Amino acid sequence: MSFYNKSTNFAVKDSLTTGDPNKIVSGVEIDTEFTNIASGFSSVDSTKVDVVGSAVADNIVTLTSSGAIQDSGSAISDLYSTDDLKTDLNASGDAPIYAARAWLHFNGNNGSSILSSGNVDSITDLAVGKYQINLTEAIEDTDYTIIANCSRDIEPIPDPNSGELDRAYQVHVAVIDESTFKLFTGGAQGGSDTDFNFFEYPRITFALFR
Amino acid sequence: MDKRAIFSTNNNSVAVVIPANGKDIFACAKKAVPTGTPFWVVDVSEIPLDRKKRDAWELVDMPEPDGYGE
Repeated sequence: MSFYNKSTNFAVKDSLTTGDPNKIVSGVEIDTEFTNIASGFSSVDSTKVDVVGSAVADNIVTLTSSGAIQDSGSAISDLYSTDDLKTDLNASGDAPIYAARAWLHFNGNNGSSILSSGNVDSITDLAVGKYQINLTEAIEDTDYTIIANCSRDIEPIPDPNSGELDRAYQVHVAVIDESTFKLFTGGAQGGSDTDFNFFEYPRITFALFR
Repeated sequence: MDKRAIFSTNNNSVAVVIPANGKDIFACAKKAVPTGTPFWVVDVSEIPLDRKKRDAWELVDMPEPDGYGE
């Protein structure tokens, strides 16, 4: 789209011989061009021109519902601040927040199945009570922390005199690399048995932090 | 969710790759299975539920593999 059309071709004047009256650039021609330019600008719809007025440092340019750009009059921190984030996460005080980088809830019984997860590609059932966790996106290094748990997922809790609670529900972690680690679940049988035995549990969970 | 990838481990046991919800079993297997190790994709119903002899499982007379770990 053009809002200005030239009336005089000034370039062709260069090829004319000296003395040719058309070689002269007249004031009328120049005036005509300026008039054309002024007319062109006046035809522009000012509502289609996005003007950010009274902008100050850190203000945010936002889009209106009709798609025009306007000055929000707000600083970035006014739109959504770190404090807002902490409030939304119910975190008071000055302590920082560290989010889990991966988490998993799976059933280790009867062939295992993943019930819910985040950033977990798959688990590899290696043997009874032995699992390899394969992350979707790798962690930046192997210095990550894993909080893991396993339980029988039963209620009520077994009678303390039954010996069932003697069996320690343990989860051991072995980090392999940035995207894989192993979980070993089991514990002692209870009573006089103090050896670690591998067991499967219906609820095995972990959360990974870095 | 209804598929598993199986492969033989170094000690001749059988490992089973279980994909997370919505994940493609072939993509998961290529990533989870050791590089160059063959794997087979099977229906979950083909995995024995009886875990008593789990550590004695082994793969025998397998057809051509469905893929290899990458």
